[in-house]
Amino acid sequence: MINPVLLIAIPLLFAFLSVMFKKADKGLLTIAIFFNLIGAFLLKETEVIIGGWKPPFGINLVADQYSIFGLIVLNIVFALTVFASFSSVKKYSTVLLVSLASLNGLLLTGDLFNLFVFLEIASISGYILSTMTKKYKGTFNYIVLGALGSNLYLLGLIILYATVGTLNMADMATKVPMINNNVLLLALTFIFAGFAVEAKLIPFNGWVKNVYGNVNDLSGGIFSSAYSTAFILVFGRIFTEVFQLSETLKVVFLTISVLTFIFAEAAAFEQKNIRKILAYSSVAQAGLAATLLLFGFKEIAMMQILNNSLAKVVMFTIAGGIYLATGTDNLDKLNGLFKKQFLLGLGFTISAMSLIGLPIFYGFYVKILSLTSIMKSGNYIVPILILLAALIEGVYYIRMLVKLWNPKDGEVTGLKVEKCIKYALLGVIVGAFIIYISINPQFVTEGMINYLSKIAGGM
Amino acid sequence: MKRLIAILLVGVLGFFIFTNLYSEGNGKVFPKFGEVKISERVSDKFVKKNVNGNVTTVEYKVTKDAESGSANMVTSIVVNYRSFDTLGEVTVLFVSALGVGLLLSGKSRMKFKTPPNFILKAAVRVVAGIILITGVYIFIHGHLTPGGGFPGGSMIASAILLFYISDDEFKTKVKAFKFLEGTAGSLYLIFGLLGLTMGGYFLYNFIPTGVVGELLSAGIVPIVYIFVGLKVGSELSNLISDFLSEEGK
Repeated sequence: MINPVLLIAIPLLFAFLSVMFKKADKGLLTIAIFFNLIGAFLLKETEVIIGGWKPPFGINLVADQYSIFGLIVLNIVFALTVFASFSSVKKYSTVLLVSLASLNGLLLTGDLFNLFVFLEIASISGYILSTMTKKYKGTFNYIVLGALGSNLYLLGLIILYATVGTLNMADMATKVPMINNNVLLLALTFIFAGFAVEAKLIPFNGWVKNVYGNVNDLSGGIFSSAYSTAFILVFGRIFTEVFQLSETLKVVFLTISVLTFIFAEAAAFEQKNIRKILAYSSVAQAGLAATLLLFGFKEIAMMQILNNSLAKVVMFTIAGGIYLATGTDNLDKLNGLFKKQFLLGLGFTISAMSLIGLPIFYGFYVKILSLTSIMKSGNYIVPILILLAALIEGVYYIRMLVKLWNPKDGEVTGLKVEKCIKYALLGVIVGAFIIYISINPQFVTEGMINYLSKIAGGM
Repeated sequence: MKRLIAILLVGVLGFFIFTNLYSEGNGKVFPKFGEVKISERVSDKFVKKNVNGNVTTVEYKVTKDAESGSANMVTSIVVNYRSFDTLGEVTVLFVSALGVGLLLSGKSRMKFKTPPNFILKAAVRVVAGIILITGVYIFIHGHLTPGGGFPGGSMIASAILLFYISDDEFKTKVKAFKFLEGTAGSLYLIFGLLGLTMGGYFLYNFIPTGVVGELLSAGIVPIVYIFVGLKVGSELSNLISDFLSEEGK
């Protein structure tokens, strides 16, 4: 049993220490990541009060099955990304420590204002991480939209606090039915808009193209896996557990998330650069997860998030690594790259297959489950739209893979990718895990339930 | 055209906000200014200091061990009841300053086009000391009077800014400031962890809180505020020095 607050406090403490001891910063980063990784597995279902003030007056941290699952996924992908691209850390170890602390905090906190604080920390460290490739225009876009988004969230929260006078999530959930419908509509619209910026939903995702499209190996994995996992899970927590949406609002939000899915897939189809394709694909996957969460299928959404973050951590890291090594990520210039770097291609291909949801891969299982569950709830339009978008997704991913595997006759790429052993290693390890859970999908679903119910019992 | 659409959008948004915020209907509506029922919200118990169930009224310089023990209500909310948020806000500033440092830090100092004159130099010598002392006073007395770590820290930084403006050659020792910043931040967290080991709660107020209104009261609240003040002061000073450093050198 470990106190969940340590998952936030230890990385933060190490972040402060790393400013003092500049030379030890990478060591501190490593220790903190290992601590969090082990800590996430040692968590038990519990609720922790901070400062000794009982909620709703003080702040509490909630470690339930939902957040523990999120923490395990988050800390694993964070560790994988950082260790696979350790050479890119350079001066950024303090920022990484702060972002680790804040992402853990996002998933753990049980207080709406505390959530805002962690949202701010996470997004500011995100802005800094996005400057790694020195494409400042995208970062500026991100800063403007991100600041607007968190302010809108705060504005919505202020309206709610002024009306019912509480900030605690559980307390808020009991008081929401007392609020006037119009006021609730306004507040929820603001909160949704605020979160949609970070959760990458249309029309608030203008920053994604430039930020995700210009990542290097390190920031790619962090953004596409760690950040998106944390933000989409928090989105789910807010809109399924704290607020019960009225029918009209639910339809509006669902429309937005489904549109996100379709438009992003269509936009990805147009792109020629690997990272841009992956960026739009990330938007699409976030839209799918948001759709599932809004329908109320939390478990399936969690599986979808796991599938996405495992696949994306490999693909984005490799894409970023290729960009660092060759200076380009244009598909036409990288023809036949995987022929030379077989291991690199193997991990990438498995991840892509799982992400598309080809049969026998884990993604297939997730997609079928989500389609049948939505159909069972009586909605037939959304599954058709999802299928249509998935078809587009399949086409552009397979087109990409074909280009990467097939050299044009007689033409040698001339691009050398030599420092790619670690990316290949990451790809093979995660790929093996994806294949394992593809053959044995119960490992995640039942294993998770067993594991969580086991840890729920003993305190 | 773009501007017209923008104005139109703002207008629509304003109408949407206004109509929804001030609508009548079933359930709780957004309260008008001054018509809030304080007793229905969590802040009521913060003000009366009876979160843990004490119902005695708090009297200045008489009451002992009133929950947080700080006479300033805002401080007791910010550094005690919701101390975790303050830790977060400190981190927000920390990471923002860090970002500025990563993007802008240069070796040499930027020179002003017009050198500062004698009057400015002499005046700053006199004024800066007073500002520094006031800043320190404000964060040490944060639990008694309005103020605290953030305003106190910004005052210290403003004194440093004056030094920078008045002297072309002035350059802070960034390393020392980084050290101070890191120490203050870590000590905040270490005190939080001490609370976890001693009282069982992170950021628990484990030091005796004393009589409300005396300087040595409120347990860890003034200690934490001193850390916050030092941290904010050194961070903002660093920020100034980063902005005034020349690029590429």
